[in-house]
Amino acid sequence: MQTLALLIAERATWLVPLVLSLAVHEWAHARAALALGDRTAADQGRLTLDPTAHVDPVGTFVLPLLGLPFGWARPVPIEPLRFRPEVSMAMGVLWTALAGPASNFLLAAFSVLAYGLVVRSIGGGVVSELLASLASLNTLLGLFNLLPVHPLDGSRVVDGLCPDALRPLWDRLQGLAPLPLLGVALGGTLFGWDLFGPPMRLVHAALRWAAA
Amino acid sequence: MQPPSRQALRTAAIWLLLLAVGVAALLVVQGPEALPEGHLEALYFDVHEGRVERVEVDADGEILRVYPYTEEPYQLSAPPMGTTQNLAAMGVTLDYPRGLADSALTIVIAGGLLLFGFLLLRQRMQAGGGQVGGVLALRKSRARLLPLEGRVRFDAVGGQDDAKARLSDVISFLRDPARWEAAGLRLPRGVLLEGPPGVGKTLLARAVAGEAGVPVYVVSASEFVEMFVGVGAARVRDMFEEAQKKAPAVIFIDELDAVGSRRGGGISSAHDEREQTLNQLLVSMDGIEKPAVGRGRVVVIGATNRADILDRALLRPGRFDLRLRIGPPDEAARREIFGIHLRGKRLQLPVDLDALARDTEGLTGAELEVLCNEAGMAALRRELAGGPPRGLSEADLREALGRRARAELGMDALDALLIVSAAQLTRPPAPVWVDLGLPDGVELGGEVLWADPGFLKLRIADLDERLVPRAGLRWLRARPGTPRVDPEAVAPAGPRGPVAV
Repeated sequence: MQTLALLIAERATWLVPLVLSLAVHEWAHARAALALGDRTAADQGRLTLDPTAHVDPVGTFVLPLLGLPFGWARPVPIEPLRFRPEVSMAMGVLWTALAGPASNFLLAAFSVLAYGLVVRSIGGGVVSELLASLASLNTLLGLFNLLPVHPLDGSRVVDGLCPDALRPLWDRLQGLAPLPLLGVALGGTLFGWDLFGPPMRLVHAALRWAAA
Repeated sequence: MQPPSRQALRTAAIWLLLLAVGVAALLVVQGPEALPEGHLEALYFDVHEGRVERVEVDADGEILRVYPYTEEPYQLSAPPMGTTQNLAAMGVTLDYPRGLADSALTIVIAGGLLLFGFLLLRQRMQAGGGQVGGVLALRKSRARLLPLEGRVRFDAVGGQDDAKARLSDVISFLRDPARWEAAGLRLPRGVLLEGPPGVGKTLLARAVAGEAGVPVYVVSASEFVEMFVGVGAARVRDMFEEAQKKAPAVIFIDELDAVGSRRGGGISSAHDEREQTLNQLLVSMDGIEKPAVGRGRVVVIGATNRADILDRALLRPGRFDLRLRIGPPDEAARREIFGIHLRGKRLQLPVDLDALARDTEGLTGAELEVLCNEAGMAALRRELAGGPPRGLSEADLREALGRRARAELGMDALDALLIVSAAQLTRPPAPVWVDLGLPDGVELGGEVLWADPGFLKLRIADLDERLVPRAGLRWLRARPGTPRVDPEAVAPAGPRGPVAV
């Protein structure tokens, strides 16, 4: 019994920051779209930090609780036709896509600073632990979503920047949709790729710097 | 500062809940700090010597923390099976601190996660009406309540006087059923509007709504049928229940033939869903489920342009017992329709509506509307190009008409001829040969065997007969030698306009 409780607690320690960070991420998409004139997401009630509006019951709740190394939230719908006239559709999509990861980096930076404040004022403890995991998780989320692999935000950024000459090649790559993503998701486990090792070390260094 | 909205409070509450879970989880996972690792033999020795004050058992016996009286405490990880029993037998005080201390935290974690999961599911179910519905949402009716503002009235419908008169009866019944019930009459359960596309069936139904001032549910029959058998039937039930709650009410089912076509046509089970939906519609219209007394005042208005393929059970009295045939508008109606669609557009007078109405034989209300709109666009284009802001002229209308259908001028003579033939139940006095251009550019020629307001039947070669829709013909010419008939001579022109059957 006690081991089960420990197991659930262990999963909860990163499920909670995950759910909160995803809420911020999706909210940022919706907010950016609204700023550019597209009300679609707002109309569907996605312009909120309420996690229940964004989180997918299976993708962000059940799977992480089961300890699987992947998951997903409900994508925020974007309607490029509804952007304001002076915003080109490609650029609108690009900025909306960037808003998500950007919000994660901001949240990570904020968490690092708050971590420093907490450690200096009341010393290490649970709150600082939570902030530390928020910092690393958000860095991870931001970087992961910037990968130029189809359903991720990064692919939309490439969509917007891709020169016409390379577009057929890019579209072909996108056609492979789930394969590169699976490769990225499982590569670490199967082949020991350390894609996110260096940035994580950076985050840890930042945390130490903030606390010192 | 305005008070925070419900949504903001909910968001804050959920964040607090999740943060509490996170903190509790971290507290549980962190546990007490690790002590230096000791040896099993040392533990037994210390116990034997009576130096151990107490031993804490943690993580289901995976960690033992030993607290001697005087020396530094140490811990044993993964002791062999039975160690705790041995220690108990040797009289050592065993504590299970974490078991108690963490149970509160565990409740916070498990309870918090359960609550969050519950909120998540509920949110999903409420959003079910949208695109990401649960299975239950499938069974909800897709019928939409027509908003009260923006409803049209009968004066938005040109012509169709007979249909309007019959529908007025329905409206007066919906408004004041007592008078009708006192006279021993019952409300028609269903009104079927049938007629070619574009003559204003939907508009009429919306006008009924506007005139009656009762809730109107609008649904297209194709919205009932889904991939899964039973869903359509459930949606019909749901729709009728909704309407019953708001009775008196009108349900408008557009494109009724999507579910209402004759049953038993297909061999495969692919038709099961449609048939079930139809059966449910029949039952719901009978009103067996809810007695009609007082509350059953729900009138179904169906519209179709394929009344010929409708299931006969649907047409029997007691279901769609009022059938109104909505035909293409006659001359007077066309004049009225022009009036309606030119209302609110800037006009360059004079515009001879009578002449226009005369020259637009065979065009439906929708086509006339397109005509007016195209003429308006031409006028606007002229103004944007720097022309004088004089508005839409008759020439614009004529030009739009010319682009739409050059065929109509030949039609009247043809109609008159065919009406004479029909009246005399004979073939025309001489074969009528025509050449015509179809909307897709194909050109045909042949002998006219029959014509009605919608179709021409042509014999193209000996065994090749073809039905040609008259709407949208590019041009039509009678070949030389076609007998001319004076339209005035056949004045009692038979069925025109709506006919109640």
